[in-house]
Amino acid sequence: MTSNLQHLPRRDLERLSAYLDGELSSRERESLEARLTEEPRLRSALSELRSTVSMIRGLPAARAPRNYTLTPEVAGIREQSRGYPILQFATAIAAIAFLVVIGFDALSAQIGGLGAGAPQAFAPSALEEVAPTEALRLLEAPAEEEAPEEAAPPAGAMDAANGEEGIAIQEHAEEEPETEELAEAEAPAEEEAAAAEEYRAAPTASLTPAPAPTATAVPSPAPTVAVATLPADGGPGPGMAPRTLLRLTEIGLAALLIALSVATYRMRPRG
Amino acid sequence: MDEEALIQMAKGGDLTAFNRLVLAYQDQVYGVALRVLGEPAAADDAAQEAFISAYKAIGKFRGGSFRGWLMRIVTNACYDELRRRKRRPQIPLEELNPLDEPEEVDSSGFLPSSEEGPEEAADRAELAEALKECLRRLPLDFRVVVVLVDVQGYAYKEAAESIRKPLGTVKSRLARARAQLQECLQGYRELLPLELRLENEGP
Repeated sequence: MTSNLQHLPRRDLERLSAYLDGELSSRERESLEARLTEEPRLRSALSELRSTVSMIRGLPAARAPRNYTLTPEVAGIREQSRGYPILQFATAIAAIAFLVVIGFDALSAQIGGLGAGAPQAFAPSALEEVAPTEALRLLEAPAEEEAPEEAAPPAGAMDAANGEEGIAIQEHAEEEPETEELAEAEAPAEEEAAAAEEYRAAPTASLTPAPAPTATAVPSPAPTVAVATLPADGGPGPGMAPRTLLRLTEIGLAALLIALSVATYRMRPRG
Repeated sequence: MDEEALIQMAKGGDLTAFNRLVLAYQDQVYGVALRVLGEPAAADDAAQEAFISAYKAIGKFRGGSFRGWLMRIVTNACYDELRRRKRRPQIPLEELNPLDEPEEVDSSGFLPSSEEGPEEAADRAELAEALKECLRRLPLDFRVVVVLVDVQGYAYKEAAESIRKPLGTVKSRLARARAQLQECLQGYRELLPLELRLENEGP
């Protein structure tokens, strides 16, 4: 004789089920037991349920097919691999940035406008405004600290400004026709040929090489003042030739990319 | 060394102490995973993941039933494993190496008696298969409760702790799961062992 437990009222089913497990309160149990003596249908359902439960309990117990003890490597490697997607992403970003910079470098070299076009296109927003005028100011400013507003006007105003200044500026002004246009990039670019290795070896020293052309153009007081002016301008941008900056960025990105690639490779999920 | 001391040492990062806990509980952990997932390969993955998660999370264990806490991690690992397999369907159950499940340890009900002939043994094996199949057909939430209470023998309170649900939920899910299993097993009625059939005929 069988009966379908599913047709039993939900509450009765739950009571019978809990009764089998001894999980009813004494009052509930007494009440149910009283009903069981009077209701054959409920008795039959209890019997069905008991048989089903004993079958489930008779299922063979499973034994672990192997030991799940952890090795330090397993715990460690698994922990590291959580950061793996982030590392992958960072590597991809670095690769893209590197390609963009390389691409830009190639493009600017092709255009050949190293002096005027490149820095404007390359310089990040803050640098963009400052770089051309500030770089010029550095060439002229060393001796004229007190007249910064005259330094602000672009190249066209230079001669006028220079004319009012002292001997140092006079000397400087003589050089102006050559240096004025090239000052921002070409002169450092020439320097770079000689000093490239030095830059590569010591990117942190990049602040000081930049004023070097100024030193050659302007006599004695210039270098120290120029160097002193740089930090006040708030960054390497103004004093640094964009071409050099570009190179340094390339080198930095390449180093970052290599480091990230190695780290990503070493942390790759295994097994 | 008692469990409490091992737990404290494991909390301090002692992997050896933790591994002693692993050895003590790995059969239960794997057993729950196997009955919940119904697939030895999936259960193996879930058990391994559960212990790795447990090791990482043991610092957050605030006392109480360690077994209940561990089972919560196992059931979560089972849910994760099911989700993972849904996303990346792998080899269907039937094609899995049948040798993957050689670790059945006969316990109570289906323990073959010495006088049992090959026919009875075959019946028992078939019945076990029917039960596993019926378990697989249960909704996952029901299956977890039935595995904890009926297969692993947990009290309702501990099962409730393991699934982080009120006692009433355990009671209700268990009753409905048993009713569904009974219905499913009716198709296999004739395979019932004699003693169970007799029990059914009783008052």
